Amino acid sequence: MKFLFITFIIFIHGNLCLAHNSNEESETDIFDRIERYGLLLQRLSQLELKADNEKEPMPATPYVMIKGKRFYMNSGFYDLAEDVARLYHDEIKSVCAQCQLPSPVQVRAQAEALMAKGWLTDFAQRSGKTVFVRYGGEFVNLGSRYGTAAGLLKVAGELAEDALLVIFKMPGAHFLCEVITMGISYYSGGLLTLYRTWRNSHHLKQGSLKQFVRLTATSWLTRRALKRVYLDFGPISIDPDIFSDSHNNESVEWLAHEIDEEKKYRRFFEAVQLRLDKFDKEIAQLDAEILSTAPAQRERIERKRERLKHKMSRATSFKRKIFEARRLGLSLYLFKRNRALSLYSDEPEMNSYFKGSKLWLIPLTSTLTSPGFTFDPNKQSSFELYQRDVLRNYSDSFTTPVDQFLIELAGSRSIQPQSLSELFNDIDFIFSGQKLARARYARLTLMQGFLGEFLPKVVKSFVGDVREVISDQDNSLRSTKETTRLQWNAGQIAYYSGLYIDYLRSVAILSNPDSLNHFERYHAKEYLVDLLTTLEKLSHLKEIKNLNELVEINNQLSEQLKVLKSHRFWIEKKAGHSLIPIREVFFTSIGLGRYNFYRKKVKCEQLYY
Amino acid sequence: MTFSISLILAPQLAQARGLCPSLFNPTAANGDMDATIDKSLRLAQSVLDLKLFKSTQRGRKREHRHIVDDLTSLNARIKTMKAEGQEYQKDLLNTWDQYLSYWLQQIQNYESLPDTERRRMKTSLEVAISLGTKHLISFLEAPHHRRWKLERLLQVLNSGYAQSTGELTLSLFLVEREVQKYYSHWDFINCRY
Repeated sequence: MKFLFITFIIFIHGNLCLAHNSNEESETDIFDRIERYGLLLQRLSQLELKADNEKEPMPATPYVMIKGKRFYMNSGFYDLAEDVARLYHDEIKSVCAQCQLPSPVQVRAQAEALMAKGWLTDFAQRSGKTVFVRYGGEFVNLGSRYGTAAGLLKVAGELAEDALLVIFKMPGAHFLCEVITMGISYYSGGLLTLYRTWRNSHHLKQGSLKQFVRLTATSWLTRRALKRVYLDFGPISIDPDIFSDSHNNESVEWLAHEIDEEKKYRRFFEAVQLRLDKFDKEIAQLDAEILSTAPAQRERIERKRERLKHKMSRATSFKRKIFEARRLGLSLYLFKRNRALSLYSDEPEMNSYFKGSKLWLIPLTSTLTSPGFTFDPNKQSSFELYQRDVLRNYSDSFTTPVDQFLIELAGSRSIQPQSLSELFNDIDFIFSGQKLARARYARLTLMQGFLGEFLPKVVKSFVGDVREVISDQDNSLRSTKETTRLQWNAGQIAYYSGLYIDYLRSVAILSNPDSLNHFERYHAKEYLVDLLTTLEKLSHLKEIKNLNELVEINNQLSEQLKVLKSHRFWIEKKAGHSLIPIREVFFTSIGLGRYNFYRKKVKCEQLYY
Repeated sequence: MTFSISLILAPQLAQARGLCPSLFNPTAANGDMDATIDKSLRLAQSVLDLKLFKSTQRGRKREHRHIVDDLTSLNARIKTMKAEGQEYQKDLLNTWDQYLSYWLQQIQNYESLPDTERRRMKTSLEVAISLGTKHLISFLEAPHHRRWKLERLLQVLNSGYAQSTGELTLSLFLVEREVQKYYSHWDFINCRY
């Protein structure tokens, strides 16, 4: 330490002396200079850092680590700084008596002030945060959800963009990169689905090419059906008992995490009712008018009455296209095709219920097709393929012991059996060989809407809320690290949900899912339970109060994500055997390999060695 | 084999008794090893009679040979265990006895199923039977016995029926679930975990 310090001082001293007084230096004899440096070295060597480690320093005391030893910047350090400043002061004064120099005491005070400001820590934090936000944020956003390789590519793109902007001074680079990013984002979804279909085809013992063709054809047919077919749910009547039960259960409650959402939800139906009352009054007036009018002049009034009835029908119906668009998050895409399809366009206050946060739509969409509502029996045939079975009692529908075991397992993990039973129904439908592939794929879109579209949005909103709460309390590097970790974990949930949905997609397009392993559907159900368990852990975020709680939740989430990773039953059960497994490890680390770290890969005879 | 760890394993066995009392039947604890050997032989014969592992395919023939070898060698080892008579060996034999009784019963249930169901469950039944067999052989062949080894073996032997009500489908699912979570390969017959 001392040697470095002395070297540094001599270097500075020599340079400054040359800069300040080059004429005098050039005139002095070389031996005089050597003698003065020798004297300086001698005086510096007699300086000793005071016993820094005699007493335990305060935790906030800054220090430098040299060769594993801590040198605290305490009074001993400042004494040494003062002594060195004095040497320097005397040295300059000896050659330039008129020069105005700060006294050694002033230098010491300035050193203490600088250290008190924490300039080094502050600078490191600011620089670290800048780099972290610029590149780390992009990496976490993309890498957590689409794999590490995607994150690395994004960072490489950002670096290239910065290089173009700064080094080559290309002003349009930013816009160009944004356009490229948009293009990649638009096409990457489809490419990712194709890639995963190819991967899953091995597990399902299907030809890759055949699966590609099936996927393309089935998805095209289903999407076309969802766009074109007008499915009118007809007049809705609400069963108050079941509706209140299903609405008040916990699974709905935690999804609609804002209290106002529930009010919105109820106000929506109240608004529908008010509108219906208004129509009823008008129709009653017209009926009375018809009675008092001569038969020859009734035609106009009757036409008006019919129009009002048509409006009533529209007010109480949900068009399938709109319903699916909202569910799938494709509203912009679908609405652009046909602007006339705007739900309640003549009632602006109703449109407002669809704007802003869509969280309240989750209970709506999850209950629309379940027991809380009964539909006009004359119109049910139009959506027969898509409507979930009405389950009055969920336990009656799952009579197999494995289903009951899984529902009990979910119950032990605080997952509501009723909401789970609806999803189990969907999985059974997707695995059913007696249904058409198109129908199975359409049913898959319901699960995709739930797991692939809405839940990531809910999770994202949770993370945003937590980030605000934590940043208000603590702005340290630790809090940044934990919130980033949370963001990564949340992205990973979306990643595994996406993998799971793509596996189900591969099953839905099969011509005969009955040929699969007998327990495939049960593994799918158990994985769903695992996913919901992870989400249940995430739901504790809404009650978070401080950073320590966030750390605890992050730890739990990490453990649960390990479970999700190791339980991916659709991955071919084959360990990467290699003398030099570098390739597998590398490709796995960037998200492209199959090497599974969480499975044992021992030989049979070595199970217990 | 080193059997000097019976004292170390004693607390573990006591814990296992608490968790699964049905597995440690006190009457069977003093039990007749000949009966266990008989059961083991009967299981082997039942499995062979089922022709589970028989197939015209080359790989399946090899699997058939493996399961026959495994069960034969296991019976020989059980006879050796009888001669040694260590404390934990008796308990382990009782667990194995329960395991065999359970799966013998399940094989009868399996035989009563319609052909379509049998075809669908065939592979799962192979996994269930070979899982316990392979693990017990590996445990007995291990040069050093540790507590975690016995713990794992008990978990494997119990995995099919610890939580089930004796229903075949659920038992097979629980076994597959165990394999799914812990192993990288389904092929127990060829020792490729």
